[in-house]
Amino acid sequence: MSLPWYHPIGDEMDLFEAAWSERLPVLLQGPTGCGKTRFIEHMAARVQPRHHPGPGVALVTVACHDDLTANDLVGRHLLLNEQTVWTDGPLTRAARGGAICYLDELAEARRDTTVVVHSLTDHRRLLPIEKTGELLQAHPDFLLVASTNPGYQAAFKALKPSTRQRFVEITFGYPPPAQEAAIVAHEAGIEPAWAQALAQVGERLRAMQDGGLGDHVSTRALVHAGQLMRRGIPPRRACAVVLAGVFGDEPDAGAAALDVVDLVFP
Amino acid sequence: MTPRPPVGPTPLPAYGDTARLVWLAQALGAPGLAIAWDTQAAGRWRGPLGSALQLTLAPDTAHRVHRLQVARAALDHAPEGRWSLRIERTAPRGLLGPGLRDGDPVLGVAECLNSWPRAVLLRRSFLWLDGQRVDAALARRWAGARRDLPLDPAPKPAHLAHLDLPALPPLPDAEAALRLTLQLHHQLLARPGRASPGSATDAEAPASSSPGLQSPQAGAARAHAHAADHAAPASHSPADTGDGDGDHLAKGPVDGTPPQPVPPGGADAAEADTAATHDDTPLQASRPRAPRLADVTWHDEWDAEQGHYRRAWAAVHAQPVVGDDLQYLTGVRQRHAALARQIRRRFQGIEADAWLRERRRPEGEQIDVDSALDEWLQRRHGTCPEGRVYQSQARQRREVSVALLLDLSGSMNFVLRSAEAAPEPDLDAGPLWGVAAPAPIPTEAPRRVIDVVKDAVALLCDALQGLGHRFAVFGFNGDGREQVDFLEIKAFEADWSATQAASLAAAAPRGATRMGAAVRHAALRLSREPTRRKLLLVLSDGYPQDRDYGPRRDDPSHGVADTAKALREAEHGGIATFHLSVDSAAHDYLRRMCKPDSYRVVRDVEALPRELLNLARLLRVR
Repeated sequence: MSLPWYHPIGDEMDLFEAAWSERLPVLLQGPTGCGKTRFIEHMAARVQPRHHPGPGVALVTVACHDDLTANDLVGRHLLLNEQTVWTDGPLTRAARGGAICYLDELAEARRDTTVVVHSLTDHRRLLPIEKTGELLQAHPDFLLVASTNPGYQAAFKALKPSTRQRFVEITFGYPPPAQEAAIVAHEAGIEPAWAQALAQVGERLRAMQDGGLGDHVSTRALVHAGQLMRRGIPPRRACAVVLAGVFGDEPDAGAAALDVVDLVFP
Repeated sequence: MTPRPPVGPTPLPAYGDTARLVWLAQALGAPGLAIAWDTQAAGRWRGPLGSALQLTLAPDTAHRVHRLQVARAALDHAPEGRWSLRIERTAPRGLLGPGLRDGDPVLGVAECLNSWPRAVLLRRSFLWLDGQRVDAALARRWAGARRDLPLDPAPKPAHLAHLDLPALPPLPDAEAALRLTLQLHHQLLARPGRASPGSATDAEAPASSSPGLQSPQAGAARAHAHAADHAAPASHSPADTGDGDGDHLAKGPVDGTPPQPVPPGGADAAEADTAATHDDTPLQASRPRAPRLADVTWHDEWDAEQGHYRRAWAAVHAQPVVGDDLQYLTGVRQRHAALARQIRRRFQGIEADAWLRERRRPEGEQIDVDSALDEWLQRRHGTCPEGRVYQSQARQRREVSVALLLDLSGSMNFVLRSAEAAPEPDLDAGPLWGVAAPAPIPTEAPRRVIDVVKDAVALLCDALQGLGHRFAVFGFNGDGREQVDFLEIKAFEADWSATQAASLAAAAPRGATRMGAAVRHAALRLSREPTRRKLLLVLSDGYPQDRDYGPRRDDPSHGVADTAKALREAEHGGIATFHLSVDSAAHDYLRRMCKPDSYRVVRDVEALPRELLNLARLLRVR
């Protein structure tokens, strides 16, 4: 299995390896586009399972949203030729077969949905499936990983403390400029000088946004700008189209962002 | 200081442009940079040295020049910039002149330059030389800025015009620039046969301009420089003429007129000038006294020192507010037309994606597998199913109740500084909230904090109404633990209308801020709400205090601890809390009172309506 590229920033890989060895559930915290998903893809391909040969376990990703029900996670009966057939949901599939189940943006899910993971996250490692009466003991290579986006919709969209304290929390931020430049250069396949300039744009705009203005410019957005530049779009134009949405409907802030871009790119 | 006269025929620039430049300054990392508007030319090349926090920009210069100035000012604050010159390090290297006496305060570049004879000339040389160094650094750091640099070249000071300078060596920092400037300066002063540097310059300057270096920019600028050279005494007086307006701007507000507080005893006078206060005589007469006494709730108070509750300690008197200004709501919408539009747009955006799957519908776009299965089982068991096997996207039923709790203590009566007064250089203020005030709304009556807060609340109510949330507006003030007034401006049940807005207009600030009791009472009201999600939004202008709120009135710790406890109690009861303060010193106690993500300090009270745009994100509930 080829390893998805990931550039470590701190000790997150060691932490994850340790949590994996103990099969402790992991919560990845960090702003949008800072590399959480890439990290888990990388780690899933890297960890050593107990019951399969070679490195890497399957990764089952669920994008959580406020309409996600417990059935969507655990499974449901389906109709097949006048018969009901039980179909495992993604969580059950991962727990049964021994995979990493990645619940992306767990805080977006309804609170009554998130409690179904509780029994999987303690020493029991059990998933009770109400509809079939099955009490599923999780596979030894099953691991629950979730991600949340802190400081975002602070008042209502926070995990319940009882859910949150079940996880080992690994916090991500945007990488420092030099490392971010390296990431952008690799991912977008552009000259290091351009990548450095893009990283500088990101750093500057984040400083501007610390006052609560718009959403932060993500590393992913910078990579997208780099990809456009590689295709021959002039840097200023590439930044303008990628960063346009960052400031929402704050026209002055958007103009100030383009000023920053103008200062960085000749 | 007297307020500055209005700026001639040129109106103050639109809010947007300033905001844009302030954001740019913030992006470039200039700490505490304030941007002042002036009709005088931008102060970069002749500007004050004592004021690193003020950037004076002329409204009629081109935008690219503005941007360039901001970038330069930002670089000035960078580690290699001009303001980083550390005098305590510089002194041993012989950069301080003989004019400095023992015990004189030495703070920065200005004092260093002033310690030499002919300080004005020295300052001009330094500004020019170091400015070029900063520009070179600017071009190195921001490649895109190179294009802007020729728009605003450094005018070579007239007294240096005759000097044939070789190409400048690259100067790493301000100290190197200062050293080079001093060398030049000594050369200049040591020239034989000069009566005074000023007259020699006059004679020679027009004749020559040095090749290879930038020539003086404009005749006017040079004439100005000459005038300054002549007028300047060769001492280290900091008040040399060249500093011009920028210097006044920088110093003025320090001894400027403070806002006029209404003393606690003067509450009557304060109420007299509101349109219709809830204590106005006619209303007072019509309000029944007896029910007011009946509607008293005693709340506990947390005593942090003793570590226990004082049971049934504060009496909260709930009472409705009635107002008669039915035009108020229309007025607010007119005053803030653009902002109201913006808020509406943003909230509509939220509304647009607020869809939820509705299950077990008799019709819909998709089959609901779970209910189809149930139906099928029912049919197998011989019962008659209803055929509700579809799911559809339906506009979501709102399940949020929001309680707005307004601090209506006497301090809300503070009069806002007049729009014409020079901006105050608040050294602690982040650039975003320090200056980015919206264009002042022209009104005859002096605007008080409460007026802006009420406008902001009215706009927020408009938005909440549009979202279909259940919301209530409460105010509180008080006088001792037995009289905490809890003013009901809009009940959860009432529709937001001109009548409710009139009540808001009528709510008058007075008394003190016993916040804990008010928070508990608002939380009590919220807890009776049938909705799944509840938010308590507190809006205040200062720390919680009352005459018997803790052992000492001037020590907020008791009130802060009690309020913090009250907020935790609310959160424990499933109520989200958010605190918005217009007190620039509020970070201190809000940090102790609120959870990290659940408070916000608005630096400039006039930016408050705008801050509501950010609240949209908070209220985005599905």
